[in-house]
Amino acid sequence: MLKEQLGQIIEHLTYLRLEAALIVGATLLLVVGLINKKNLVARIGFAVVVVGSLFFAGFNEETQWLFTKSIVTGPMESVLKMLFLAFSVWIVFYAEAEKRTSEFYFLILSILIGSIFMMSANHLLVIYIALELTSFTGYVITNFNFQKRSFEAGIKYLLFGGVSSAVTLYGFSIIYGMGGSLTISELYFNEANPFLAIGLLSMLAGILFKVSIFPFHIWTPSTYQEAPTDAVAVLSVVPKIAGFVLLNRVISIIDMNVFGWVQPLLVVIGVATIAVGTLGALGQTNVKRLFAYGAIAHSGLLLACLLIDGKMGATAFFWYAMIYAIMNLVMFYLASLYESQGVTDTTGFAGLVKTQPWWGALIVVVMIAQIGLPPTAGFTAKFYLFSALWEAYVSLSDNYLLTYLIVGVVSVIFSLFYYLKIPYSFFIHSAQKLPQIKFDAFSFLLATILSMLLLWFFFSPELLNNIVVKFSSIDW
Amino acid sequence: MENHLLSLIVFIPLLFALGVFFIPKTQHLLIKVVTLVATLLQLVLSLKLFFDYDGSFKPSEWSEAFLFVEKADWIQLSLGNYGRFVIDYFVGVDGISMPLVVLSALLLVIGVISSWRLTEKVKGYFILYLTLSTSIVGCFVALDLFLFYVFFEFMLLPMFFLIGIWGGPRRAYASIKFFIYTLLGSLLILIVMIGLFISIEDSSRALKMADETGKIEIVHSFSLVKMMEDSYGAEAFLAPDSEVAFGGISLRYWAFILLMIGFAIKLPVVPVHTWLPDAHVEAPTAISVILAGILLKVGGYGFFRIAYGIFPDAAMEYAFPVACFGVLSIIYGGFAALAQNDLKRMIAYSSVSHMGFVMLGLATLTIEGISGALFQMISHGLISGALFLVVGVVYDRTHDRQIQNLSGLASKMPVYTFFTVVFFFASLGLPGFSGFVGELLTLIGGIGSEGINGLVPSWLGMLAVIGIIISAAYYLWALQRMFFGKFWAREESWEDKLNDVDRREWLMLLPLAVLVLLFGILPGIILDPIDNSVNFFVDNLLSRGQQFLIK
Amino acid sequence: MLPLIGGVLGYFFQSGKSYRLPALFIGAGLIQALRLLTIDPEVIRWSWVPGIELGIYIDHLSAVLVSLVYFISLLVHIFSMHYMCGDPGLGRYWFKLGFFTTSMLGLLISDHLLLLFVFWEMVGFSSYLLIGFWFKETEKATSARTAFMVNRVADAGLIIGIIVLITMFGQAYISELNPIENTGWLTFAGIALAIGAFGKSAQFPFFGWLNKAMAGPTPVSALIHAATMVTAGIYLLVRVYPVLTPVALYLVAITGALTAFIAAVAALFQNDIKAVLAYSTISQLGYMIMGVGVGAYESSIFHLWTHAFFKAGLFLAAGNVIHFMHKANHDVDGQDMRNMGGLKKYLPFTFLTYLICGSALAGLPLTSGFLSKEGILGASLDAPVLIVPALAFVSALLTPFYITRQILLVFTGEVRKGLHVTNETFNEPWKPVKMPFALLALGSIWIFSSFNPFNAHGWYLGEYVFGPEEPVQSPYGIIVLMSSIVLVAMGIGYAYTQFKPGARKALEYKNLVEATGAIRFFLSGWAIDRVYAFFNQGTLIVSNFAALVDRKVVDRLVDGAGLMGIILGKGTGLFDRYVVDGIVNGLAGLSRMVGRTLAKIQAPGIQTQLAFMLFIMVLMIYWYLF
Repeated sequence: MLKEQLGQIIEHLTYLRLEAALIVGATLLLVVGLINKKNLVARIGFAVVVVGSLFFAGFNEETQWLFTKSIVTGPMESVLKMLFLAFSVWIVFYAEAEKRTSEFYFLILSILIGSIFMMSANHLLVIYIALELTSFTGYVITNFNFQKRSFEAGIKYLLFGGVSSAVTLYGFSIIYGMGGSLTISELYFNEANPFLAIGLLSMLAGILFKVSIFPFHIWTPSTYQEAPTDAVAVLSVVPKIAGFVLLNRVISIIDMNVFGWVQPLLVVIGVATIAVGTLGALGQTNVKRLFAYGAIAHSGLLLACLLIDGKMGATAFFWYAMIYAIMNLVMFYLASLYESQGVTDTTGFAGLVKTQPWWGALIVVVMIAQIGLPPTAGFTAKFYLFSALWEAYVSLSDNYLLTYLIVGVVSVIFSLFYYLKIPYSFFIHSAQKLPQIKFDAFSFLLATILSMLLLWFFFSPELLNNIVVKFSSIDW
Repeated sequence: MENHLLSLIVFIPLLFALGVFFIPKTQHLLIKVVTLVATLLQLVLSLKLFFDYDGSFKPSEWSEAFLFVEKADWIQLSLGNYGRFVIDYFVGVDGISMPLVVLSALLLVIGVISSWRLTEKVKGYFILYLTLSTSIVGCFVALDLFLFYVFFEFMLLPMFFLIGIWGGPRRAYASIKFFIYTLLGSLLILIVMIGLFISIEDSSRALKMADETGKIEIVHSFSLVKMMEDSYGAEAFLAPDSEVAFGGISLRYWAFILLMIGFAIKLPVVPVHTWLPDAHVEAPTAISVILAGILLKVGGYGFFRIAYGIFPDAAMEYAFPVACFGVLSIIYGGFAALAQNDLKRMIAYSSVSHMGFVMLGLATLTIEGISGALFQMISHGLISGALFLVVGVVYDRTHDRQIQNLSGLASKMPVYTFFTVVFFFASLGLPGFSGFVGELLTLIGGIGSEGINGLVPSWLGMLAVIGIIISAAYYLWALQRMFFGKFWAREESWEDKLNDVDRREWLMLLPLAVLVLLFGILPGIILDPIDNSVNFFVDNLLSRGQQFLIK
Repeated sequence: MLPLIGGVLGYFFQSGKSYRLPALFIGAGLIQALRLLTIDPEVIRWSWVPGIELGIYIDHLSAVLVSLVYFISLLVHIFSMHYMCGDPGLGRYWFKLGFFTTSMLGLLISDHLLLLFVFWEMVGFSSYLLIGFWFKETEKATSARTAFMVNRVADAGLIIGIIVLITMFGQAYISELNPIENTGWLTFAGIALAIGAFGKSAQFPFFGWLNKAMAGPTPVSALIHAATMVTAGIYLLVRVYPVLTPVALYLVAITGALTAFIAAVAALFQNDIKAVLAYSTISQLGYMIMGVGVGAYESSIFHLWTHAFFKAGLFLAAGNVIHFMHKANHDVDGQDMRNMGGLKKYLPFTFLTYLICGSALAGLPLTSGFLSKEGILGASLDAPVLIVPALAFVSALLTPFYITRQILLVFTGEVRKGLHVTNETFNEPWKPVKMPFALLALGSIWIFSSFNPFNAHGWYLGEYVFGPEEPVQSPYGIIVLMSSIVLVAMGIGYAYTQFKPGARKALEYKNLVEATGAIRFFLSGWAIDRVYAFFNQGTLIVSNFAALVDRKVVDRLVDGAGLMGIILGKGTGLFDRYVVDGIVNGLAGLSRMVGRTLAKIQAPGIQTQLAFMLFIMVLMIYWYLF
């Protein structure tokens, strides 16, 4: 009996070998960091851990329910895991990375681990632990610039995070009380019970907080602005995508016929998120704060994918998430480069076209991708999303979805205003005194390659499409 | 035999842009020469296209209406039950797009010549210019809606920067306004495009694919040909028999309305035209030429190929409002032009007025109207391009375009005055110049439509004649104020600068003048080869439209 | 066909120096044109745009008019060599003149109405160029513009008419126009065509432009505004006569008569030598239009023919007078008749020409004008309403009056303003230039039109153009004949008593008095300029309004939308930064403070935060649950 269980645990663990490798690697990294405080060691160590873990990655064709269904891992999760790792490894090239110690990278790894578990969690407790793991690391990492403003932002993040956690926990308890199970896939809410509704909402709050959906987005701008840029790059992508996967799982247990108000509610907050994000970004001049609002708007659009059933939604989501990740990676990379040269404001880019035309071109590519215009993959992503919304609207004749679609399209216009601020300043304004900015050849190459990815995936999206096809078995 | 002519025409500028990219930025002359060679090559190839185009063939369905077709797989995405999305690289021309391709190539060459004196940020300018060339021509040849949209959107960026960086004092405002407006339009088009490809199913393609993969899937295609052949899937919501409605209007009509608004912004049609005067005034001369000469035509082409081609029933249903907007543009644009003091602004408004004819001609769905609208596009491309060049000549010398700041130029610059008179009169529709033919045919369509298919009442066409009268008024007035009377310039220093047209300017103006005259006297050069296409277009639209309306 | 090509080529290759070349080409053209007279009507067609075949059509009428145009044009060219000699823009002048002649010829041989319209517009365009020939003078440039604009407005009517015809018949060949059933549309088309004709032939209410057109060089006035361009309208109406419905004809007749009267009245009061002739032209054109309107289009064409001779003669002679005045006295306005007088002794040959042509205009017996006018007057009695013949006869009285006044003022009496007549200035034109005068004056004598000095039906060319005709005895024949002679006599007589040398009126003119009241009204051509100015202003107001709407409303809306977005954005940003951050910061500060002072109590910040979040959530729950 015990042996059987042990055997099962070991067998299940093999599905989690990537996570295990990450945990072990993170610990080792911390230990190495204690011995050797050299920056290079920390960076290489981080890269080794992440890339090394990738070797343990496996692709699960079938959805696996592990540990009495508390963890689930299927094709989507396995791909996303790899994506997270592949994505994160690049932050060792960010400009700030030169100052980083191994503690920092340990925290990043923690975020990764937390996010991966968050994504795979099928059990309320696991969800909670994963949420908290990423949150706590987030609080700490926000302060890693060791400045007063960072602390403020960190505190704010902490305060909001704490409240959300509390609310979430409150929701969990209600759900457990009403539903009688902690395992999500065993719960099914099909009776109109106000307590259940409150519990559900409370539970959603915690996840929505993670993915910065209105009204739980408030922490985002100042956190993004003050946190180290390399950390923001990870924070803005990995936990967010993971959070959406989790959110989708949670939503799927709700009987929409009974809880008919959930979908409108999601539409309303999604639309509100887009509105807040785009409108909020309009007035910003700080680059990272601007990006933060932009990221909020992206959250609103990603939320739309969850409202679409079936493969259309999954495709849209995956595409959007992938491209969002790449866009943010390169966008924050550029931001970190310029930040290291003292450019943190959009006005700081004025007149740079004279000395750095190529960089200007890269910035244009990235910003165009963020807006969602061809010929960048940003367009492809938005295109799939809007297509999915259209299709869903038509097949369901659901005017909420139409509203979502319209707001999404309109937001593109507004996003033009703020995403173009930087290229605009770069090309069209002229500065009295040109800042002396020069980057080395490696940054140049890296930024070019990353930006070109955005173009490449537009013209030749087979690679991403093939990955998407592998999802065919999952039920979104 | 696979023919790569169109691809060559489209992508040659892009290739050369890549070449320019590797030229050191101080080598101004080399950059300019390379750009010129690229556009000349494009022109030569498009002339080959023009002469090789076989207009004698009478198509009977859309799939055979296009010549020089190239097709290659581009993007495919399988979505299980929803079927497979197929996006192709699919280009081809018919009589409607072919002249526009040639026109674009011609004006692009002239644009290069007119920017020959540029000294500031030369490299960036010409790279953007070449990219713009590719996207413009791409728009005209694309037969895959997705491809079209990509080219269409991609025009915005180079244009935005060309106006924003090399423009006049208020370029910031103008470029942003241009971008916002046109982006708004293209988003509307995007929505419809998505709706369309969801509705379209390519069954023959599906069978072919089933042979290869062994799996029968629904194939959603972006092919414009399929869209114009109405190959809608069962219960597709944009199909003619669909009953899905929003706000009491069927989605199909909505799609048409959105498309019309989207392209109307580009054309532009009153009341969504205000980006045009600003963009024109601030843009450098060459860009004004491109903007007025070609970019506006993309809007018109969009009307033809997409809005009308795909939704003939809506086109017939809404013929009256469309024609109304056309006439409104004609008259309103004319009046607004009369009130302008800035020469460029005046010409910009005259563009609004003249493009109104395109809309009017299109709305009538008569052969005269349609070929008139097409001819008007070509002729307006040549004339307005030339007009902006003409303004550029005086602007180069004085850096001023206010009509009241100069007078009596005729005695100082006789050759220049000659060209100005030619183009002004060409634009106001004097017979013998191409402008007249377009307007005449459009008016025949506009007035005759009531008797032929009853779509547009005659009085609308007659109302449009007011536009012609007004156009004479503002051109003559400008001519008189600026060119006649005693020579006078606001600033004395101008007097020395105001030399007559130099060789480079001759080179730009003369071909346009000759063509304007040639097409005015022998419009058959353009209209004969495309006659069959136009006939087919009209017949096909009318028969399909009627068929759908009965349903 | 040949003259057309020859003419165009000739003008493109001419240069300013070899100024005889253009005249030679015109001469060659004239010979070709005369050959045209001998050939049978022929039609040539070619495809212009798909669906529309243009064509030219030369029948006897066109052949005659083509010859006429060539003839007058040749004479004008010859005269221009004298008149324009030394002008710096001479090359340009020849080009424009040639262009005009070519357009006019094209107009006459067009078969398709569209082709006719093409040349019609080109005639207008070239006349614009010619009127504005001295473009350095703003006033002349303005006149050119006004002339073109007025024509343009009328042309809009013409093109609408043509298009309606095309949509009705499919094609609009002049040679194939046949009356079909009388429909509303046909009437409409007829009226629209007539409006076009009114424009070119300077009929009410478009007559204002012709006076303006006098800003051009005088030979041009002779060519365009007397003999050729203005007659295009009559030619058009004659050509489309088959499709004109009774209602349209009625309108045409009334307009013609009205114009004839209005212009004749205006001519009475003019002081400018050319203005008198201009109004007289308008008046005569009114006759012709009226003639078409009442169905006597043969008479109209006849009058067109005779008018071309005597009016061109008058204009050329007037040009000579002006030329002389300019040389003799630079200080005064060389066109103002009040400055002239007694020129008979300086310019005897010119005087003679003027006298003969003037008699023809007045309609004295034994002149060609008498013959043709009589035909029209007679036909006018067939008009459906009395007003048409009434106005026609009144005008017939006024015409001799004003022309007599003019001749008396210009050539007789004493010189009113000092002339510095030296040997050099005292010059009749040199010999070759006398030829046009002589030819035109001769052409105005009856014998060259009809053998019978009292019967219009004897016109030599009448049979050639319109085919053999049964002489119809008009019931009013003799009455018309007599009355017109009486009217002419009355007009001349009265004018003579008023303006004979030494008469009070003639002396009064010595002082240039500003006209007042009614005279001013007539002087300005019934204030037609005011009407145009009114429309002009109206258009400007509308256009300013449109521009204003554009700037203030449409743009504002756009900018406003953008601005609102930005304000909203700023607002949201501010809200985030100050309100939310403020709450948080404030709470943090508060908590620190409270924490310091009341160290034992837990920081309340978190609880407040919780409340903040919960508030929104409760709100949401409330919204969707209850």
